[in-house]
Amino acid sequence: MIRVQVIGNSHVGALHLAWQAAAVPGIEMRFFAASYRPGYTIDRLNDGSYGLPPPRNRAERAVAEGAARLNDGATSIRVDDMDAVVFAGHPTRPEILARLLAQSDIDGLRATGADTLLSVGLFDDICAALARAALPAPHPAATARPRQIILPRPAQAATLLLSANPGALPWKRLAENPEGVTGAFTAYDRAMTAAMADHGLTYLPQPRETRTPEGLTDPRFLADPSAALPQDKAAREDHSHMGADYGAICLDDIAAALTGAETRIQGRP
Amino acid sequence: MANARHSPYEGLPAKCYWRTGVAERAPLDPGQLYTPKFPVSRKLRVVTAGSCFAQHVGRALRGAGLNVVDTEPLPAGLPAALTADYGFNLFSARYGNIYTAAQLLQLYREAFGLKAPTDPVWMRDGRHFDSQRPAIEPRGHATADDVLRHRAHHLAQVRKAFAQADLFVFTFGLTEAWRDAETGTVFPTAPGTVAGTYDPDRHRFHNYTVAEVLGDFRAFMKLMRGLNPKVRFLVTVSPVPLTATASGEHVEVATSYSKAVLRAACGTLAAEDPRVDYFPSYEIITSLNNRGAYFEANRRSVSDAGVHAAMQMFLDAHGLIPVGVPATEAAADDDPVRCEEALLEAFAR
Repeated sequence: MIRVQVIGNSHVGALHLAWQAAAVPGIEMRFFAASYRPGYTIDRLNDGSYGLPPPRNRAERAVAEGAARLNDGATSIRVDDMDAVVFAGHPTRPEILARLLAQSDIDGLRATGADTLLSVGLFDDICAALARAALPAPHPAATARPRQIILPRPAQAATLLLSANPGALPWKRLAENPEGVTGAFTAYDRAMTAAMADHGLTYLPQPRETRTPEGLTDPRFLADPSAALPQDKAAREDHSHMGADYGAICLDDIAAALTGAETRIQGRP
Repeated sequence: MANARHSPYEGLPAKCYWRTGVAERAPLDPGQLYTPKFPVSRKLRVVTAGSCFAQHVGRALRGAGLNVVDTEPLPAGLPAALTADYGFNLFSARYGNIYTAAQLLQLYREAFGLKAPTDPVWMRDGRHFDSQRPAIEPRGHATADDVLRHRAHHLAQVRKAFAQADLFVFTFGLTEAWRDAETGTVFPTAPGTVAGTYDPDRHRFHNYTVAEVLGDFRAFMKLMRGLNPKVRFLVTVSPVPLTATASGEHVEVATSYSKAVLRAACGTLAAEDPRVDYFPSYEIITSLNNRGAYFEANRRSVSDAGVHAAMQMFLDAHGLIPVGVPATEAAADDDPVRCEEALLEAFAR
C-alpha cells in the first residue's frame, strides 16, 4: 500500500471529490487543506509538520478555524510516514503565457500576424524563466523521502470566455485563433517539469485532455458549472474550481507516477 | 537712457553666470539647465531611439505616463532582464541601440524600401545574426532565412512606429562607426565584436564630423516629415563615454571629440529648427556641480541617481508627474471567498 498525503488549497477539493467517488486500489490517500488567502497559506512549520502558521489577525484566524473544521480538528500534519506528498493547486501563472501568446507569434509554432515575433530560443528562455519563478519556496525536505509531487492549479474553465473580467481578454484572443497554443503550453509544461526535477520535485502538468484549444480547462470539469455563468448575477463566477471528473484524471496521473508507470504521463502528447 | 547698461552681460539671469549658476549652486542641485522650446504632454505619441542612454529616457517617459510607442511589445509579468537581453521594452521597436545619425537614416531608408544595407547576415559559431542589430538575438538564428524573416517583420514594425510619431526622441551616442568600404553601409558594432568577421579590406573605421552628423540627421528629419508632417524632435547627447576607441587617440580624447561633435550638431539643429528641441541630459550628468556623483565606480556608467536627476528635470519642466504602473489584466481566480466556498463544498460531500 502506497501512503499519500495531499496538501494544498481549495484545489485539493477536486482530488477529494474523486477519491470519495472511487479510491485508487493500492493507494491510501489522506487530505489536508486550507482555503487560499494571500500571504497566509499552508507551509512547512518549524517542527517539520505542515500547517498554517499562527494567525496574525482576524481574517487569518478565520482561515485557520475553517481549516481545523475541514481537517477534523487538525491544524497541522506530519508526513514522515508517507511515501509521497502531493501539493495540489500550485500556482504556475498560465495567464502570463496566455498574454504572451495573445500578442505574439513564435517561429514554427504560431503565425497570426501579431506585432511581436519571437524566436524559438527566446520562447524557450521565457518558459524556463517563468518555470523557475514558479518553483515552490525551498524547504529542507525538498529532495528527501517522502517523494514530493506538485500538481498545478488548473487553468480557468473556458466559461471565462463569457466573462467581462479583464483577465479573460487574452484568452478570448487565443480563442479567436488558437494556432500553436497547445504546442506552446506543452513547451511550458516541459519547462516546468524540468525546473521542478532540478529541485527533486515531480511535476504533473494539467492533463492535456482537460484543456481546450485556447489553453483553458474544459467546462465539463467544473465543480459547479452553474457557478461559472456570468449571465447569472447571483453566480460567483467561479471558473477556477474543478470537480470529481477532473480529480479522477489527476488521481490516475498520481498513481501512474507513484507506481512507476511514468510513460503514461511522460508519453502524453 | 535710464536703463542703459555698460555691458550686454549685465543684468542677466543668475543661471547665465558661472558663479551663480554653478559655483554657488548646491551640490546635486539640478539648477535651471532646461527650458523647453515646446510642450510635451501625455497626448503625444512618443517614439524613442538612440544609444543605450536612450533606454533610460524611454523608461522614464513611460513611467511618467507618456504614450511611448512600442510596436513590438511584450506583456507585463515576464522577466525584465531576459526580455531586455532580447531587445524588448527598450525602444519603440526592437532595433537595439542606434548610436549614429547615419545608422538612423539608414534604418529609415531600409524600412521604407529606399536602400537596403549590404551584408545583412553575420555568422558566429555556426549561428546567424542580424548585422544591423547583432545583439538582439543573443544565440542567433539557425538559418540566414530566419534572420531575414525576422528583419522583415521588424522593419514593418519600424514603419508603424515612425508613422505615428508626434515626438521623436533621439539620443546621439558617438561618432565612431564601421562601414562597408564599397557601399557605405554602416554597422552598429564592429564586425567580429558580437558576430561577423572583420575584413580590413572591406570594413573601414569612420569618425563622423559635425557636418556629416548634421547632414544625416537633417536627411532623416526630412524623410520623417514626408511621412508625418507634424512630427517634432527632441535630441539629446548620451553622457556615457566611449568604452573603446578605434581612432588611435586616448579614449578620453576620443570621447571628448565624439561628444563635442554631437553636442555641436544638436545645438545647430535646435537653433535652426523651431520643431527641434535639445534636452541637456549630457550637461546634467557631467556637470562639475555633481563632482562625478552621477557616474558609477567605472566612471562610465550613469548611476540610477543620475538618470533620475536628468529625467526628473525633463518631467518637471513639462509639468509631468510620474504615475503608478497600471494594473495588468487581473487573473480572476484569486478570490479568497470563492476559494473557501469551493473547498467547503468539496469536503462536505
